[in-house]
Amino acid sequence: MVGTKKTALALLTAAVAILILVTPQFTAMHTADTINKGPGVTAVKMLSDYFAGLKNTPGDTAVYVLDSGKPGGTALVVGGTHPNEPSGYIGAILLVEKARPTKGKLIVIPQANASGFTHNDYSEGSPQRFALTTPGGERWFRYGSRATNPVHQWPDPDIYVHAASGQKLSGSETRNLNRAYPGRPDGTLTEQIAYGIVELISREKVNLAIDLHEASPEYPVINALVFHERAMDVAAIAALDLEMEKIKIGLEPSPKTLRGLSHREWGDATGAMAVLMETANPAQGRLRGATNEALVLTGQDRMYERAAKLGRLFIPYDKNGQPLSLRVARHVTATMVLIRDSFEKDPRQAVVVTGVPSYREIVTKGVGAFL
Amino acid sequence: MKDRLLTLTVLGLVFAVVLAFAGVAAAAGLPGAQFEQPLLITSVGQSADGQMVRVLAQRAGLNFTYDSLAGADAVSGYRTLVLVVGGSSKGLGAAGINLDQEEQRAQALIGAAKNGGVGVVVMHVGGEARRGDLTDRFVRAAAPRADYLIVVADGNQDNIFGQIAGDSIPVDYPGTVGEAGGYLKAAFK
Amino acid sequence: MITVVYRLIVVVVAVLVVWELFSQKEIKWQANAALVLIPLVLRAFMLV
Repeated sequence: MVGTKKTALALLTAAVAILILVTPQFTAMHTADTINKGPGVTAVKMLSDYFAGLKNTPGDTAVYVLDSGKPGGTALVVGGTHPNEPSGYIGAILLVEKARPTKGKLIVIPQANASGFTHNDYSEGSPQRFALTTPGGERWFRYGSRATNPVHQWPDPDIYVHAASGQKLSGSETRNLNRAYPGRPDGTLTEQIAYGIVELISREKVNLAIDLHEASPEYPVINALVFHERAMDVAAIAALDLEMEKIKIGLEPSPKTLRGLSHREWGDATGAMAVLMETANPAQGRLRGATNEALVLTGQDRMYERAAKLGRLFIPYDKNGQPLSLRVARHVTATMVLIRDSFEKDPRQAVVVTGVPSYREIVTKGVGAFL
Repeated sequence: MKDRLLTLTVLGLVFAVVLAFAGVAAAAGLPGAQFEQPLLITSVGQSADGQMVRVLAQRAGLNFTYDSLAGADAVSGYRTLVLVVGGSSKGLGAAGINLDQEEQRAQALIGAAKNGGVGVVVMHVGGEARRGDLTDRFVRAAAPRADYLIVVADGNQDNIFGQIAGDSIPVDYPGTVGEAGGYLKAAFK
Repeated sequence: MITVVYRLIVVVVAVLVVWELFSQKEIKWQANAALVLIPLVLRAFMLV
């Protein structure tokens, strides 16, 4: 077909129309999710309060302080290190909105990599957001990317060299917050976020630091707790206590040779007991079929059912999938058990938290019932 | 003739029943406390399951030492060696040892125990999730020479431990890791 | 600074693509140019 100036103009107009249609969808990702201050929240700070270099950058993020006012220890819960792992940040948001410490202090960073929430990983077909049904109606949350947005940190090097150790990884890992610890004040945006979090842990004298994550069901370290050697005791005790609540969790020691991760670097750089927990998210996996909001919420996928029958998964999986509520329940319950067990040896370090729904409540009523 | 045949049949049946029960008794659990303290608890495979057994031993009030990398020379100071079998590539990497070295360490430990009259208890508490080629290698290295096996039931779905135990090694199958602590405590005088 | 240079390059390429859009004599190549233009504009504005 012959192209003319008229057809060119028509096509240009169509392109502009498409731009007008899609632009709000992309800009909407830059609008922060609503997080309500629960009854236990005594202060809302920003990460830039701990490292000024983050002020007015896309890496700055809210830090919720729940201080009982009674002497005790300090626990930190971090969600959203990888914004495509929703049980981590939804679990952290639930703590912000429900937890009430009666001894010690609980600090929660629900969306650690704020930049990662402003985009999706390319070629994944991920939904940009998902909705939870709550007593107040539908609440929308963003489903982001594993890494910092490249429009905020660019370019990626060919090889990412971890500053503290010289460890070499693929260049795109330069935007992975969980490879950036302990961070650098003069590093990339991701390294600065990491540095801010480590500064928070040091300045707040955090005793127990928990990083909430998800991984694909075919990944071996799943439904697991990875612990720094300083957290060895509390991890083993917590695993046993969780088993008594019929929650099976695997234990894995943090490898000393894999640098940049929270469970290694938080423990090495500070005096905190550092742990990282994983639940299973089929929406991240390589074996999944259609990637959409339903998959994020239900974790139901026929391909994963087949994979389970073939013995390729590391978690029990059936047609009921891995609902988000189940994954959040695991994280929240395990967090509460870890906090409780962390002061078994030293009651002076106790952090006592009430108001958080139980595993059974979250699973049966759905996490939305508590948001 | 008929009476003799009848008598032989009845005797044969009784004999078979006795043998059957004898076999069941040998393949069954530990009949009572048989092992002495102090005990040395170590990991075979460097999974974190050893940490959980350490906590179980603490809660059971046992006199023990935990050393995930204990060598054969450490065995002589103890009356019982407890091997917690579970493979973890992360754990092996963290410990800086490879599969061959870990298997050799396990064999050396058991050899030292056998030579020194030290009891050997092998535990597998990681369940089905911990099983795999890596763990199974260590299971085959350690379990056949155990004096007693404690295996969380979920980890024996293929009856590998039952086959290893046969008629000669007492084996108990607690339902959970927590229950395994009870069997561990009951094994010691 | 490098980001400013990068965005300038993106804008220049977008302008060249528009020029190409109007220069092409076959509609399929015009459509091709129009499609290519969309992510270039989004990147010029740092929306993606």
